[in-house]
Amino acid sequence: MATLVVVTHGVGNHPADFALAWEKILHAHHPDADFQVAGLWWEDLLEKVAEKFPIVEQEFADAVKSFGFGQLAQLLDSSTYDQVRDFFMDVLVYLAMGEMTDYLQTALALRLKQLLHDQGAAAGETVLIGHSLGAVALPHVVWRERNAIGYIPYRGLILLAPPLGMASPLPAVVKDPLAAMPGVHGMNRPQILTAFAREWAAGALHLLINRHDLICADVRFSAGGAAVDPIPVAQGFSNAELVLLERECGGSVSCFTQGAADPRQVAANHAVTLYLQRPEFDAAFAHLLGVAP
Amino acid sequence: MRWREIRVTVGFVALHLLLALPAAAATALPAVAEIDGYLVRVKGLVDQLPAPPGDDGEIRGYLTGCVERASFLRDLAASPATEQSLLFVELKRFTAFRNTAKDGLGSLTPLGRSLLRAENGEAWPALGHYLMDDYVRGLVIRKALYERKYFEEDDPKQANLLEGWLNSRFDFCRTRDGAQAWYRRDGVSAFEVTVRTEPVVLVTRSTDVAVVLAGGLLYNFLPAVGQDAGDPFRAAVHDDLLSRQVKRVGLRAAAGAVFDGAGPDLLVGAGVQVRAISLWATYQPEETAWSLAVGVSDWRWLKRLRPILPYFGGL
Repeated sequence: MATLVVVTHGVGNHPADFALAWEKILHAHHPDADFQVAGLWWEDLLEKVAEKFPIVEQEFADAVKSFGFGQLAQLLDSSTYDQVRDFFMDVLVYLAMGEMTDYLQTALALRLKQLLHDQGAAAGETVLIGHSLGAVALPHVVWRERNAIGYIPYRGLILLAPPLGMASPLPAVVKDPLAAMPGVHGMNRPQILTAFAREWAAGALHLLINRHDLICADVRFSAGGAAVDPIPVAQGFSNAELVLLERECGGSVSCFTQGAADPRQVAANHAVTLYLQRPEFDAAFAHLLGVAP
Repeated sequence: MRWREIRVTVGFVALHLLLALPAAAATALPAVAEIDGYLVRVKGLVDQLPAPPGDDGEIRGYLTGCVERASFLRDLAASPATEQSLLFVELKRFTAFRNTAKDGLGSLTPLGRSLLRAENGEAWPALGHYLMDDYVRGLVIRKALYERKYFEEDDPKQANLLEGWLNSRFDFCRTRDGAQAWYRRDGVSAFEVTVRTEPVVLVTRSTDVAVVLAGGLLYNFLPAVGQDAGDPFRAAVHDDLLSRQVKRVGLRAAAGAVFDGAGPDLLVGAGVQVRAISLWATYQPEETAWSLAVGVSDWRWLKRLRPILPYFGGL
């Protein structure tokens, strides 16, 4: 039976058939592998929550700027800044209201189970791939399942540009993406990362990080002759966390550098198409499919 | 043990069993042979540890704890007198024990990590997969209750970030896994905090209009929810009279401005809300005047009512 590959999008406007674009790339890079692709679409869920709390879009923009993102706005052209701002606001909306975090995780988890049921696929024959905010939500969803049944049943998880390293400046108000894992009350970041990494079999967990991707790495842009990190919030994993991940699940993190550290390249450096065509992704995907890269 | 503690314990177990019954009745449970298989595998893992465990003391403690729990589960499964619901509850308790123990493990040696992976990924799934149906059932019910509480009320689009944040902060408002209380259904709290600006119309002494910032504590009459018999991914929602007709009630307090033609005056009030309509007792300090007022927490209702309200340019 063919392996089922479930792909999950991040923020932005994604149609229900968003997975077609991913599927083309995956089949082009792995023409001989036996797999089928299914999209785990959740754009409508994000929109539903955004409509429920409409003030977020207006008021949070100012709040986000007050964290120092005005500096970012000066560096980036306005359209790119809007994309980045949208991303951070969606992350904040996802994380600031615990009830909505739980609702989104619950609804997404249910869709995932239904998707497998509809496709007639076993979890052990399923590979999950998430990009951007989808690479935050998928770990949350599989952790919810692990809490319920005691283990993670999926064959593997590939996280592209995961903002899981992001550290909230006000954790009492807005949680870290890691702290929004369900059922981790009382655990600190290293404990959460350790427990999560240990749940996966060797070679089953992969995190791909572009060092020039503002969403998952602390990129420094050149401005006025100095290297500037325009976002005062840590986006990437610390060195200690990367060491921890390597120790607990060897080979799970692949860092690479692609694209210029240029404010105008922010969107391009974060694009899912960039990640899907990286050799690091090919190797991880091939390993999970059980074929030669 | 004192009688009070015994009564509480018996009551808790009885409640637990009662709640577990519907799920257990519909769920297959591990057979003795499967539990034996798990025990053999995990005991084999324990045997791989060095005699004085040294740095592997933690993983030895974890694995031997699993063996003890599994032995108890096996004895339950082997006894013809054991109710299926009790076996189901014990399997869930075993799962919770494992999760807590795994999360609490400190640093492990490479051997320790390898043994943990073997127990977790190779041995446990034989038992853990029996909880999958209950997991899906929980998702279906939780989602349906969230939909009712947050998205299917009369005024779904009048919420704001502050409301969302507050409802996630107060313990009695937010969802808690496994929490049992008279105001919770499957962990979802019926209580909800609201903080909204809304129009109010005075109905005694004058027909002035006011706009207030109102805070409230509402109680949602949540329906009973289960899985649809024909589709395990759909919810079967069973409304009673209160959840269908009344939906939500609550107490509210407000402060705002009343417009009486001579400029805005301060107005404070306390009220009772049913669905999206509130009945207010208001007070204007400047005029030392009390009045009754009616408010709607959905501004769209104002548009609907406008044609029949004289003070809104209607009749």
